[in-house]
Amino acid sequence: MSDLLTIGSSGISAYQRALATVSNNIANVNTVGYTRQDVSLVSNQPRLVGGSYLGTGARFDAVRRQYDAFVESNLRNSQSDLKSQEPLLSYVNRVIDIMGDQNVGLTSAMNQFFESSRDLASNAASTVQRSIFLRDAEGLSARFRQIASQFELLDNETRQAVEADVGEANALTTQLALLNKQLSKNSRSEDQPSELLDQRDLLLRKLSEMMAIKTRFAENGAVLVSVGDTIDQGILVRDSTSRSLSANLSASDPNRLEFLIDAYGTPETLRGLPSGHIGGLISFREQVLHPAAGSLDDLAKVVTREVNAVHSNGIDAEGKIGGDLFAFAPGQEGKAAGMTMIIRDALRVAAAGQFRVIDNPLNSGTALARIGYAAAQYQGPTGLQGNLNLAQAPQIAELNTKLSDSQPYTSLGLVPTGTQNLTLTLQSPPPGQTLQVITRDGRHLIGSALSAAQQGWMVNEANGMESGASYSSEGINAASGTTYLGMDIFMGAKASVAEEQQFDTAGRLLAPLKLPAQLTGKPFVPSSGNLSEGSFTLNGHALPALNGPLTLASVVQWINQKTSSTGITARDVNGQLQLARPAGNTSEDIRLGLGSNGTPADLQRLGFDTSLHVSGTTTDDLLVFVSGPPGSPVNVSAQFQSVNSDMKQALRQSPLSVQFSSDTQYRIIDTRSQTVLAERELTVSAETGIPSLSFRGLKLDFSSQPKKGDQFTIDGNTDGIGNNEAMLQMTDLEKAKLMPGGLTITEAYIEGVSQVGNVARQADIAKQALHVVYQQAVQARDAVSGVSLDEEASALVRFQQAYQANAKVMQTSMTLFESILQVR
Amino acid sequence: MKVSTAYLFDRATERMSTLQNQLAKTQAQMSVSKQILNPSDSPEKAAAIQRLKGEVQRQESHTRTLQVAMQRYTAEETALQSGSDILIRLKELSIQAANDALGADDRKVVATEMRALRDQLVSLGNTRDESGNYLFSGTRVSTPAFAQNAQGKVIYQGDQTLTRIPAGVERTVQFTRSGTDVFQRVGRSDGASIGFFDALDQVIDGVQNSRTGQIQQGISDLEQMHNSLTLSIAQTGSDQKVVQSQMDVLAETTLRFQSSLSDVEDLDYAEAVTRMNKEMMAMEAAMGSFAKVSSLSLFNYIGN
Repeated sequence: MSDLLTIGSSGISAYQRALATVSNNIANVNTVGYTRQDVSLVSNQPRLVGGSYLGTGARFDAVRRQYDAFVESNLRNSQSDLKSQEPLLSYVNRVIDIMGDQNVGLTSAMNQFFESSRDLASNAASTVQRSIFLRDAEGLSARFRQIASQFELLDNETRQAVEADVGEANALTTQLALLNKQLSKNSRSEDQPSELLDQRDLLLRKLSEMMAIKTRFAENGAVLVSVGDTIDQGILVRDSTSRSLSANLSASDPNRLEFLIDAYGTPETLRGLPSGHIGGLISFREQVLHPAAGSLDDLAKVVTREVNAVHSNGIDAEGKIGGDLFAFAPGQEGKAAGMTMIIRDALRVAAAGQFRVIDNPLNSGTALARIGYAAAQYQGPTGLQGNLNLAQAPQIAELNTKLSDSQPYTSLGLVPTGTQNLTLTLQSPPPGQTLQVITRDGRHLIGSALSAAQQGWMVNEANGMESGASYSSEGINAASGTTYLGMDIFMGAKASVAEEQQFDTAGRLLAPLKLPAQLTGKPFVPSSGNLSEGSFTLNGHALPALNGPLTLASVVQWINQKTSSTGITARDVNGQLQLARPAGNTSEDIRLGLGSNGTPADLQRLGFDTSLHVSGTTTDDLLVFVSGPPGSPVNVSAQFQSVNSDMKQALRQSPLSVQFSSDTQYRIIDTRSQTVLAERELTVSAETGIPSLSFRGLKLDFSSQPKKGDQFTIDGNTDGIGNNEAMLQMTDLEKAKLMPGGLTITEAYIEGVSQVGNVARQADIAKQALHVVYQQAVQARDAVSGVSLDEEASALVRFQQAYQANAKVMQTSMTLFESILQVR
Repeated sequence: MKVSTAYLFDRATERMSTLQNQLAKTQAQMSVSKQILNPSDSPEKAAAIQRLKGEVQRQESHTRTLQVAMQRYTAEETALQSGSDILIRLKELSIQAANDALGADDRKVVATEMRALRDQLVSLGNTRDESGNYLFSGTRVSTPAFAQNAQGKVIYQGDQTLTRIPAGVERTVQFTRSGTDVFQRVGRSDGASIGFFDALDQVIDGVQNSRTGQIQQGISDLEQMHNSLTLSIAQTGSDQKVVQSQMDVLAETTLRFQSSLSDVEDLDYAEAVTRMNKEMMAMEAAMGSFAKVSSLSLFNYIGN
């Protein structure tokens, strides 16, 4: 029979457990990760008494975790998302505070730099202002370095933060693996100790703070954790094993952090960790920090390049050309962190312009001149044509072309200023073909005087001439000593004093042995036809006429007629014409040049090619042409020592004089050699509307129309320390749109701050939104699993009352038993 | 939905700390009277502040440049004015010397005074500015503009480079005035031109040696010299006007930038005080209500 006592005692023991569970809930009200537990009671198996079943009481069935897997995973995900915004926002704000601060940011240093450059411009001679300028230039480079070092600090800090997070994540995954092992003792999660599962969920939640994770739960509650794109990739925990995560700087991009799982086992590279605290740090590094540092480097590069360009264009207080003001430390080229100022001496600050113009005190006009320089831009060639451009010794280059059928000339290109020791040979020229050398201003130096039609073709801006250039054959084929700018330029056949290397018995190099000059032709081919008087000059001495037909013997005899004056003897060497200086003459060369009637074809008859020889360095740009019958083949070879082209320095070293031969006609004359460099007509500049002229990049602007007889001297500025031309250009940089998008340097920087600000604003908005999502997830989880003291209080009362009632049942049963006993 | 006890406490703490942060920020804003405490508070405003401050700084630096120019013009004007006085006196003296009533010895006395005046003109040409730079030497500021050579002839040693100084955005003012610009060549009726001091030497020589033709030429030369010097004075004056008006423009621009800057940067106290009161009220309400809510517990009512 189902007795009262058994039923009562079953209730007592069931409610004892229920009360214990409630007390456990109350005790754990503040335990992090605790999941509220609930007891389930079931009624005992009823017994059949007579025809009906009688209940036999209740018993404790199980303690259940109040748990919802969906809510829990939701919480984890929202936590990952929220945690990714936190470092992003806080670090971005630090970047803004660095870049945007008035004392730390770049703007104030930049303003200061330009301000002191303006002050220096208004008092260019002042040593004090120069020192202040240097101080502020140093301040600017120091500011670049400071900001870069702040960025580097953030880079280190975030890298260390990632490494710390990775370390913590590894500790968590190790614990999870251990937990999985403990869970493996039971096969069903219902049988697992509630506390073990709580611990598992807590560990997962902590892990999800670091990064977004994917989870899969086994029947027994063991968890598989992965951080890959799918659950089967990038597994961190499987069963009782965990794989460690590591973060390393990428080998290909030293700024990038790469994540590797199980680096010492079977390594697996991750594409990145998109969310969580680590993900936030990575987004900060990749989306904000490195772009900001990159644009800072760009700014440093532009500032260094532009400021140096201006500064090395100026003249310092000692009249020397200014050098670079800023530089990058070795190994840190193009990095803001390595930007330094390299000028320490205030006198080396180049505030003055490189050129100066002085008007003659006796000028009758009132025109005042202003000078400027900007590298000239010409149409036409920029160097020798084709391969000839590469003919730097020991290379010899050849060019085989032909004159077009419509045009009786072709350009061989430009021999720029600063070309050293050039030889340009016209090989086996057909009759009528010759080299022509003309300056950019139409000064014909070498060749045969041009007809009006030829002038029209060649003296043309399209061929590289100055605008307004006029033709002059005044100094054509000038004799040595009267040449253009005193250059040693010669056309014909030339042999220099030869040198032979000498060694002593020990093999040491001695001074070379000089041998007399010797000019040997190609195998002589007799030809008919006379050579008229003045066809050739031999070292400046005109050779007389020679009647044809020409034989080697007649030519030898013809040349030797003049030996007494030329000092050169001719002889037949194996059928070749050879001209030679006597033994012992090791100072003079041999120059067989073309006279006014001679042509390269005539020289060819003697067995020589015609060459253009420039010994020493060219001091002006020379344009070289070949003229001849249309369609004729042109074979040219060339060689030069070096090209060190610096028109500006060439101009600085040779003072020029602009002389007005009428109110509008002027000549530009080199004051040292008295060479006329140009003869032109004064024009009014289309841009400024005032009379101006330019010469090889120099630009002269006149305040009013000059008068006949006026003279203006242009020279390199060496003592005009009150000149502020370079500093004016420096101040112009402040407003110059040097950065992409047409921004000035300062604007580009402020734009950079704004861009970072946008990231911050987006991160802030995202953080607020994600915080709401997270709060909801927390609330949802707590609604299921959280402990409410009020709920527990009511449960406590409920179970207490049930317990008391059961006790009463037992008392009743005892009373009943007493009653039976009292029956007598 | 059930509200767990921990959740109740956590949320209340969080809300109160948010309010506390807001209150602290408002208080900090009020104590420095700025809207932006850190650039990160409002990057775009911080950028605008930087831009405006840069502008104000630039205007001030332009003003300073103009003041330098003004000082220089004033110094030039003083020198030129004295030069003009001297030329007037020279003209008077040469007219006096031209008078037939004067004897050769009297003329010699006049010539002595004229020589002294000429030397004074040379020294005026070598006037220096406050930093010791020669005013009329062009850019060769450390070289005296005029010097006498071995023959006693006055030669100009400066250059003619014209310099400009920055005086505003896209605006420069002319700065140097070369000596040959001030003491200009004299053009004569025969088309020839002669240097300023050469002409002066000629007239002095004429007076010294009583050469009437030379004196007459000198009177006309001096007339022209005086005219051109007066023109230079007028130019200096007009340069000063230009600079002054540019300074006025700059002052106005600066004021405008400063007022924009104040709009962006400075705190609106009325708004800030109102905000602070509101935040304090919210804070009090949050604290008060939390005290009440947290003291509610069923356990308090289940008395045995």
